Amino acid sequence: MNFSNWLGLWALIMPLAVILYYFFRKKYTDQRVSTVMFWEETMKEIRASPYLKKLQHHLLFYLQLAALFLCVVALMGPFLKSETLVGNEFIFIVDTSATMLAGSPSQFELQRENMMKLVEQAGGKPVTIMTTGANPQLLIREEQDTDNLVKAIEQLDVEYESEEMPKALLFAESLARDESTVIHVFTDSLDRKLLAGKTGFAYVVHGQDRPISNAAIRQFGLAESDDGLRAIVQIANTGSEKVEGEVIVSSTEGSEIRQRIELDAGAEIIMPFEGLTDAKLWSAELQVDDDYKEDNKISTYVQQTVDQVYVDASLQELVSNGFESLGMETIAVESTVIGQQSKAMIVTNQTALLDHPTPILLFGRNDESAVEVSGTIESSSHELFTYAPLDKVYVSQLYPAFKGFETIASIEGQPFIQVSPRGDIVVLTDIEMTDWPLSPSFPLFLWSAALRLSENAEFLGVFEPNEHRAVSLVSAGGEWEIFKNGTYSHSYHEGQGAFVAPSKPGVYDIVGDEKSKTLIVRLSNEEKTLTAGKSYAIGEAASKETTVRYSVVPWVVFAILLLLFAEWEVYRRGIITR
Amino acid sequence: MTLELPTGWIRHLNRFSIATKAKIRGHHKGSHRSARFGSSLDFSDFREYHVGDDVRHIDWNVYARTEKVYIKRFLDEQEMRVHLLLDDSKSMADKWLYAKQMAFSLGIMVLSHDDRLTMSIGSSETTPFRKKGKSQRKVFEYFMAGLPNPVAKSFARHANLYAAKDSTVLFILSDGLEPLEEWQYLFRQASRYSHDIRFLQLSVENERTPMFLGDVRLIDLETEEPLNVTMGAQTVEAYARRRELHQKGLESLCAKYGIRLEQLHIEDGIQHGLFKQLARNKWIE
Repeated sequence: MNFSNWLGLWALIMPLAVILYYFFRKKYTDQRVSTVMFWEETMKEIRASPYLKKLQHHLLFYLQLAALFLCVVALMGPFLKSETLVGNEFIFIVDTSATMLAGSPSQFELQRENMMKLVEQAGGKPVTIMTTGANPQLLIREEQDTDNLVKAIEQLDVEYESEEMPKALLFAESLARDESTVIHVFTDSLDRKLLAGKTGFAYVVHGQDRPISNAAIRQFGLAESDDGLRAIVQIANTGSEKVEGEVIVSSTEGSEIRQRIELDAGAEIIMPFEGLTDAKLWSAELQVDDDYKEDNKISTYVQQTVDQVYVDASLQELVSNGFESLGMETIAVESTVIGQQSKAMIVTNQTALLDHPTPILLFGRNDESAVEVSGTIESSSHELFTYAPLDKVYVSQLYPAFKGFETIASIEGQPFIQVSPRGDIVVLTDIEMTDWPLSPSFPLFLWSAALRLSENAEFLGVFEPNEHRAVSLVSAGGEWEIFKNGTYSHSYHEGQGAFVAPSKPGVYDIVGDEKSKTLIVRLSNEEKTLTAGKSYAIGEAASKETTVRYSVVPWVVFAILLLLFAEWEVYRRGIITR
Repeated sequence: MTLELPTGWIRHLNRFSIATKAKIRGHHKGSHRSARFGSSLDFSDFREYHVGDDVRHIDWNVYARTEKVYIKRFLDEQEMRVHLLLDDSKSMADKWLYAKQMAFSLGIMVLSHDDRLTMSIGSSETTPFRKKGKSQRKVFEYFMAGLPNPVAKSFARHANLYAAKDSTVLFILSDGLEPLEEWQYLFRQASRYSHDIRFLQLSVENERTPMFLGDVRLIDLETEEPLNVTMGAQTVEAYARRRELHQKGLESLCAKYGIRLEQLHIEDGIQHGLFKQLARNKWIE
């Protein structure tokens, strides 16, 4: 304990005065008399007593003295010193990536405690808390109230996505006010190089240097071969100890293959699993005893690739250009042989190919002739048009429609774009008959069509945690409910920005209007490697105050009050018993 | 003998007797001559005629039968009853010896004249002394010697007056240091028991003019009540004023109940008090 105001010592006069008063109190000699009837009391004192003998028993005196000494102490302004953080303002960058969950207790919990401690030490200076990720989030800005900060820290949770630390650092720097700002980074490891060129602010990196054992499934791939489905699991042990365990590859239908593994430190193996049953959704699980469980399970979906498209050579070049602009491998095939292709979707005008097993995008009809048409295009709310509105497209001629096909766009009542029951897409016009290829919606339409035709309708895709991605989700209700393991987690509303994948890795079902799709959230490979990093500080904040003072005066005043009450009580009882 | 009286004191006392103008009560023989005579009075006994006796008192019937001259005696001449009420409150501690001496002297005087003496000590449990005649003087002496020191906390309110019933003369020996209301209570009670009450108020020098110095914690002997007093001309003056007020009140109370008050200063000694003050006031003769 320290005192801020030593001048307050002058108040010692008060207790000294009381002592003097007691010392120089009149010393009365006892005299027994026949009666005191005729005497007048000179001084109404509580009790006249020879001072030294009575002092020892004089509770009132001690209470008075104690109260007065406390008064003196209070006047001297006592305070408790506590280490405080260097700097006038603090920005906490909290790494919320999945790797923070490693260890027991997890690094995230350790850093949370660390933050709590630092917040206490901040001593009322403004603290900003932000999280990392592709989109760094600002949790609380320049907050000075410790309670609010503690609340915010308690609410922090791991978001699983990669930390993208450079982004977070830039964001933090944009928030910093001046050179006295100190940026605290709470992470597992942060390369010094990232901070190498930075000046202006002080950085404190809180890393972790515990040895952490980790074995991870790096990759899990499925491929269809002639003998059926085969899987490949890539497992790496990045820890420093040998791990033993079991790899389980299982499907949702219930089939399961187990295989024991032993991995030396730093080793990496690729394990093939042959002859899997015909199921779509598979997951591989590594059952080992390591410190980081999040990367021990991975799911995958058997799917066709979308990167190839066969385009009928007789079609206008704009079509193949359109696909090329989407980055797809466009293969021009002669009209006569295009029917032999079976690996990827086919774009053609041959009506006969609609029976072909591969998905077909039909542009025009080679068995009918087009008729003149005029008017605006009316399109339904089909998912093909989610990103490709047909507002300002002009079409001069249309081919006759297919019967029994679903019309998703029409001109003056005549079908323009149809979808076959099997899912093939039919555009009832030639590229030459429209100015659509000039519109920006054309490649988007091609992309949507390619996606729709190539993808499995039951699978939405593989996402990274919190990944923002445009997906073609269209339903009448406009709401898609996302379930994990059959329990509802949240909803995605169409038209409210891009689709954001859930943060926790795993298999999700997304349900809207009786349609159900599967979506897989997977950790990025970056999050499967644990790196230990030291804590360090770079730069020095332009601030000198390194301690924070907690005044003790309120407590002292409280004690004085209590003493006064006690004194009063003692005095009162003294009067009563006399 | 713990009363520290001079030798030959009792012989000296025999020459005195309690003087009273009150009508002497009692049905038994005494040695007091009556100032009056008459047929209305009851017959008591006969006595041989001696020269100097009033011839009118001769019982001629007896003379006729016995040819001896006898004097017929009347009740008027009969015994006197004296009661001594002694204050035994603690404040009497420094006056106790004097009080005992005075009580003893008065008691011996009474007994020497064949009169009845009763004596009670405050309200104490001590059985009151109740004897008559010269032969009881020794008993009385022992009684006085055996008196305990004063311990009572008060006197006037609780004084035991029962033994004073029908007493001719009632002596109250006290220092009078109690509130006037208490005294009024005692006087009212006493006036029912006797018509001739004499209050002997004892005091010591220190009470009349206190000689304390400095800061004194005065403790009341009876109530143990402490009182802090810083002595000075002013406080002593205030004390004297209040004491005088009390004395005046006491005197007026005595006047009201027909009680004769005599202040005795212990320092003057028992001889002065008894033979000068009391004799001068015709309390004894």
